[in-house]
Amino acid sequence: MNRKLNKVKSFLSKPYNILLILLLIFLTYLVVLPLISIIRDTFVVHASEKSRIKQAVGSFTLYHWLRAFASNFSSILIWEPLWHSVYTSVLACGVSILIGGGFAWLVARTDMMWKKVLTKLFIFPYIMPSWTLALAWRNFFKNAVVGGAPGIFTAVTGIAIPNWFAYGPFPIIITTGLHYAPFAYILIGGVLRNMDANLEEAAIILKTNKMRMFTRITIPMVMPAVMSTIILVFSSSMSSFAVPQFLGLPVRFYVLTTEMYSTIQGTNPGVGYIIAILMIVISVAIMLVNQYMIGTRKSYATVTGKSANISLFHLKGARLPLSLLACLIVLCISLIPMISFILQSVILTDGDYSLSNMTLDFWIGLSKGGNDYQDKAGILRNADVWKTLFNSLKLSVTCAIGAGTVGFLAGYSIVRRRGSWLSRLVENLTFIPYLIPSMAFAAIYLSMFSQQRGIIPSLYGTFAILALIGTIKYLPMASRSGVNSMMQLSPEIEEAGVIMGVPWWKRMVRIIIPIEKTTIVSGYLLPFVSCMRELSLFVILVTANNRVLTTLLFFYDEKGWAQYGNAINLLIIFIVLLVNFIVEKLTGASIEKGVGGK
Amino acid sequence: MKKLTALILACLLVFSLSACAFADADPATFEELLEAGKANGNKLSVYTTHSVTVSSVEAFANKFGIDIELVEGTQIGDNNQITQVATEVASGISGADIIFIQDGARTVAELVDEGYVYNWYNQEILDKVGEDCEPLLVWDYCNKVFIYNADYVESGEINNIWYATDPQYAGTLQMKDPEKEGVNMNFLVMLTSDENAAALTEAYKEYYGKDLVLDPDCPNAGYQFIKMMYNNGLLAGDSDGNIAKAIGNPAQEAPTKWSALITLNKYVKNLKDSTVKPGEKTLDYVKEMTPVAGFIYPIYGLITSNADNPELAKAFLVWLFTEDGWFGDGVTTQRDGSVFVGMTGRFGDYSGNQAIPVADGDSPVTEWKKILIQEDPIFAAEHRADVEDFIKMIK
Repeated sequence: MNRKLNKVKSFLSKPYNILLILLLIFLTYLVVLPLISIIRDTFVVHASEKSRIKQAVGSFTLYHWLRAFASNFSSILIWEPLWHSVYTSVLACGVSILIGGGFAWLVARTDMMWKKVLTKLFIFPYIMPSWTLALAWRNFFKNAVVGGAPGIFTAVTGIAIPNWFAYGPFPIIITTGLHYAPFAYILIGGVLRNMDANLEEAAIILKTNKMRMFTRITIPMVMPAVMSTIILVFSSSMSSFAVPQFLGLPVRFYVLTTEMYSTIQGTNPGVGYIIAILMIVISVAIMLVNQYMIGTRKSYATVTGKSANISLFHLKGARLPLSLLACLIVLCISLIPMISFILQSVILTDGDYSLSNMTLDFWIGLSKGGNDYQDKAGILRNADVWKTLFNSLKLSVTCAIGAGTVGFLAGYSIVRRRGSWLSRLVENLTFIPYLIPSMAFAAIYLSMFSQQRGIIPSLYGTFAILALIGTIKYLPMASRSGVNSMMQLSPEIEEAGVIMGVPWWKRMVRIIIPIEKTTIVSGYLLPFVSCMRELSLFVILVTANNRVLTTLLFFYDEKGWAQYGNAINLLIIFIVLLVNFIVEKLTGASIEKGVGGK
Repeated sequence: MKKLTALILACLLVFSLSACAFADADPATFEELLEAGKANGNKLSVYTTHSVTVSSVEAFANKFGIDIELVEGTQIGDNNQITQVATEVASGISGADIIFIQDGARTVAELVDEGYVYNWYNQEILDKVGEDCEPLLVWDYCNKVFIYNADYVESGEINNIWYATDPQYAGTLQMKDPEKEGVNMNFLVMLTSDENAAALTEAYKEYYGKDLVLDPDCPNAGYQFIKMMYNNGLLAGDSDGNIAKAIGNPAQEAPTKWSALITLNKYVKNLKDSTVKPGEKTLDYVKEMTPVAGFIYPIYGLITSNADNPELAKAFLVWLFTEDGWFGDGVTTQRDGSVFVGMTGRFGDYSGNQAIPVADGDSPVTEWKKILIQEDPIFAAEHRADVEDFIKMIK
């Protein structure tokens, strides 16, 4: 008995053990219970389904499952959106790898011009909200299918845009692919920069031709990075909501997320919850595939990180054309979208880009007392916008502090107790939110926290629910970087402190945190930026009193107030870039470093 | 003599029936409610689908010197509002005191039947509004009519609703996505009622010169119409404002016989808009159409059952039915300092108090009701799911 007690005592004397226990409780409540709650929700009648199911609200039903999988509606509700999600995501991976990988190769291995500027700009889409390119696409290529003024492209060139080009799968694939191209660039570029030049030199000595060198050395070398890119881009685009919402809906092209949004907002949320579960299953499957591949991959030290001098491939005659092409692509995904937002936020009448049609009213105009959109105060003078902006900042800071701190502590305690079942369990729990697509996660929280449970009151409509979900959703980012950096930190450093009798908190503040400063800052910065530009996580949870900038943008867009929407979008981008810039200047940490770039 | 007795009996019957139906009128007067509301002191929070009410709340507070912590109107679309109100009331969260909401079908099924909101009116409202106090109090009627681009569509060319299914108008008709806006869905649901289906059958013959033959999946002419309209390339847009701008935009090139089923209000707004200059592309709306020229739907004013300040909410509601509450008094300001003008000059909005005049050039609501389908929230609630599912299948 005494021995047992002593064991417990000694277990609890280690701060990291206490941390692990606390994390276990915290994550069980906020990650595991919600998962159970959403399963329950697929078996009950919701208020909006009363007239459909003709049973009392809250009673048990198999209606949702039958409707989703064994009715005439299965294909419309489930299989078609699923197929759309899968093939657009697969093709978006292709675009990302082609553009991002190609650009990485040009930068790392050739003598392309203007590398410095181009690489800075190429990262742009990653920092911006995911719908930026989709909105820009619409600004440019909107066509007459919805009537009205054509987009900027047609206004300038007079060339009419065919339907398939303006809306539906094609633009979704292109804009999603381009948005995630920086992933490919960062991951593949990292390998290309650090790969051992000896391999290629050996090939050159053996007089291997360039094509063969490329297919037999370069490609196999970057394959692991390509696979990581595929996993990352595929799962990100599977869960993307804003892009298919903006570009798919006009031609009724539904993917899983947009179908889920319409069922949850409409009169059959039960089916929406089933779609959420389906999305979780898919992303768990993706993760298993990923782990399997990593597990079977033989590890050779091919990326040594100390390549003396990589021989740059001389583009010769192709140098200028290729540089110009890269330049063009980079401009298309970075500066040109910004120009389109600026234009759309100042024109009065759609499609007329003459100076006489421009006004700054949507930015700084005074309220005219009416109720139409031209009568409202410009966004910089609008109290609602300021309130929303403040709410966004408050939320992002809260989530960053929450996720960053919990993530860092989780990383610390997981690594310190590495090998124990407790550590493994907590590590897996911190990772689960990553696997749950944002909108599915929001659906779970909606179902779980919209009623009082035990001592926890209903959190629906409060700031707390947004802060909680943001913290949990971004926890994997912070805990990953926490684990990775703690792994590199030898425990002896801390042990030296222990021997000297330095208390735990002092060891953290004086030893661990200063050493890990950059990663910790990244661990805070990533959640902040992600939160600032998050839409799908919040769109079904915010209420009118709790709007954030992104949902305000969505609200304006749904109302058709394009000028305000574009102006708000610019505001979001500006804030994100500004914060990124300040943090980068102050600490040297940056988003690119957070995702593994150099 | 017999006739006279019958007449008197009938009058008595009608009188007693109406007395029964409207016996619920609260005896409290506006002054009493206002005093009680001020004394209560709690917040006044209003959720509304109509932008004007947001300003009305501020004007109300300014006019009557209501000095409490929070007086606020929040504009929320009906889908979100239903979720929010249901959740808030069910879990006892302090939210709205009063809501202004359209989409009668869902409001009845999900909010009224569940006891989250209730219908309320006092004698003052009853005197002004009459039978529209029940089953749900109508604050405002809005209408959606067929609006067309007059440069490409002749006046009188569109005169039968079946034109929406005619190949020569393929891909030219727009309306806000019925799946996004309940009132549009309710209109389609109303088309499937026996009465309207019969009218549609007749109108079909008039338009196409032959009898309507129903497809196997269409129970009646209403469904058949919906199916043919969707299959003829109905464009389901994101907002009436955008649609109005789109079909009348001067920058479009190809001549297209654009038309749209949208609020009259947005049509008028577009006329005033600088986009439509004299002699350029203009919009007009269909005044005569077989069998109906569009639809009219109410926005209801209802009190939440967990209101923090029900008295003030009720006082606000009473005030809205006065001319000052509708048009403003020309003095009272909104929060941003501008003078509250309410519904002044607005087409397409008609007070539940029919004594309040409509905008110059617009017709009174009684005229509109003759040519438009009116939403019946009870019928719509019962058949909504059927029509939604039907549309899912045919798209």
